[in-house]
Amino acid sequence: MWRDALLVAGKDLRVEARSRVTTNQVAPYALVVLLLFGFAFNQDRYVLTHVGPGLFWIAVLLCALLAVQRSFSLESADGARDGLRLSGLDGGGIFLGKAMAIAAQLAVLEVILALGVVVLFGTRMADPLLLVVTCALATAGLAAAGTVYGVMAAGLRVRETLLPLLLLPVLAPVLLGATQAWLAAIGLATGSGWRWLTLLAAFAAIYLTLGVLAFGTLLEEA
Amino acid sequence: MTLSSRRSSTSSRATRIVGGFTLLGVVALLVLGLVVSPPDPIQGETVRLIYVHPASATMCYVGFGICALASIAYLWPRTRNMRWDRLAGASAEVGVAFCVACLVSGSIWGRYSWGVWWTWDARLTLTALLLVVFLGYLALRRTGGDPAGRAKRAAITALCCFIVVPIDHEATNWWVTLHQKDTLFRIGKAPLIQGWQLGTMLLSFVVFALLFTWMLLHRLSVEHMEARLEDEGYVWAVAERRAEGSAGDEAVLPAGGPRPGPVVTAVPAAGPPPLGTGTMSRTRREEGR
Amino acid sequence: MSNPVTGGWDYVAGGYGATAVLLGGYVLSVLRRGRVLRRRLPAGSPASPVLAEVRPVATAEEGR
Repeated sequence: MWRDALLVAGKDLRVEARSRVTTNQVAPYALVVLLLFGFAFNQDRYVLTHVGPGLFWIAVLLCALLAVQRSFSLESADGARDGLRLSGLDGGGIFLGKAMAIAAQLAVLEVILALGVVVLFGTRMADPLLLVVTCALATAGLAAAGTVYGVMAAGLRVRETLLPLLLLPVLAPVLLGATQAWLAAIGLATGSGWRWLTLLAAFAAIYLTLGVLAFGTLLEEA
Repeated sequence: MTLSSRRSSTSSRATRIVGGFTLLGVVALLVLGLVVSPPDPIQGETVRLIYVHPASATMCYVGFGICALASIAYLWPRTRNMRWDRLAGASAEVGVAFCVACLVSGSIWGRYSWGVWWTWDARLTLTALLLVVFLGYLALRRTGGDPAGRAKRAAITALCCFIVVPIDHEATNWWVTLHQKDTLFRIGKAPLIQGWQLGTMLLSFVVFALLFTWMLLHRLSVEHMEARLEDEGYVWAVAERRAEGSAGDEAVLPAGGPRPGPVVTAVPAAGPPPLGTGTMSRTRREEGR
Repeated sequence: MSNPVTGGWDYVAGGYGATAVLLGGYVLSVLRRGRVLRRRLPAGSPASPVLAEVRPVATAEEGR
């Protein structure tokens, strides 16, 4: 399973390395979103610092949506999905591979966005360890849930409009947990930020298990 | 299933019986709730909303619960049957209707007792998220494709939606306790009720359960008819066109409509696709939505 | 918040009314869907939108 996962992840990342969709389109899009938040909040430093973590995670969510859509539109051309189905690779392996590729791209985007938040909104990163661990867990959850719902919508004609409706409410706990953990990490929330990590870890664990179990079936039906 | 050709085409003996009891129950509930039961010393007349709001919330959860159970029954290979899928879809939709009713009546109540239409209370947030999640589920059900595949996808989504419930519950609970913005108002902590109030409230659950059953039966029969149309509509359509052709311009159909059976064998060469593929209706569904 | 004139009856009417409108509207839509489907199914009227859609295919098969 893990060998299959690495194969699929390698394939997706190779496609990305050659097409550069994430770096050339999604990353600039993320920065545009941050700039728009700045305009929407009237460039008010105080407000922006305080809502910065929430805005950061909303931007990440929007980027995750694009990354998931991209990851499955790759497979829709030239009957690539049929190829994947017939490849004999383990369903769980394909799921992990796809999720790993999405997670890798999201990690890059998060670094860019974090820099953007620091520079544009003036957020201070007080507890880097908590920030990094939050990012890792949240990214795992986002990638896992995104991959499950991505394959669910993959074969449908209305996938572009259906996927956000299906995925965003499901990702709400990640937004909630990660935002609160970040608020705690930059010293804007009382209480320990670490308790939110349990929520993020549980979310990631549940969707990873679900994906490994159900992805094969969903791919058959896509 | 026999379809009566009476006015309400989704009705059957079961729906008429349940519907009769529901109607009686609704009348009784209105009389008890609006006239007989006394106003509350603290909440005043608005306590009468307790005969509507908690019951619709419960029916919303019941609808989503049935949806999840039916989805499990569909996914379990030994009980796999399209009927489970239809039950899941129908009960989720009825559940969504009660969820909206619950949110709206709760919001009106909240405007009176808290002064705001909405507060970021754990339970409210959770209910709103549930509504959105199940709206997504219903949207997924309406996409086209091979019925078996669609059913499997929908069933897995329903289970995903149900996994959301405990996670969201935890998340929103923590969230509120961390913030401590408002004092938590809980509907369950309304002044102790007794006598007529208690009786009416219990009756409201019974009446809403009857209403739910009645709505579910009707909705289920719509679902069965849709499936029948999807499965056999093509064959019927071809049969009718043939009948039109042979009858010339006087396209009068024989009473009771043409039967699909003999026509299938009569269609030459490129006959209709086998029953159950639903090719025609699939394209119709996908383009329509 | 509490209006001395209405004594909260306006909110009660709003809550009951909204619930009735929402659930009633949903029930009516379900019944209407049922009637439409009933008409499409063959024992009913032959003039249905679904049949109109497949007309070209069917006439081609008839060779008309």
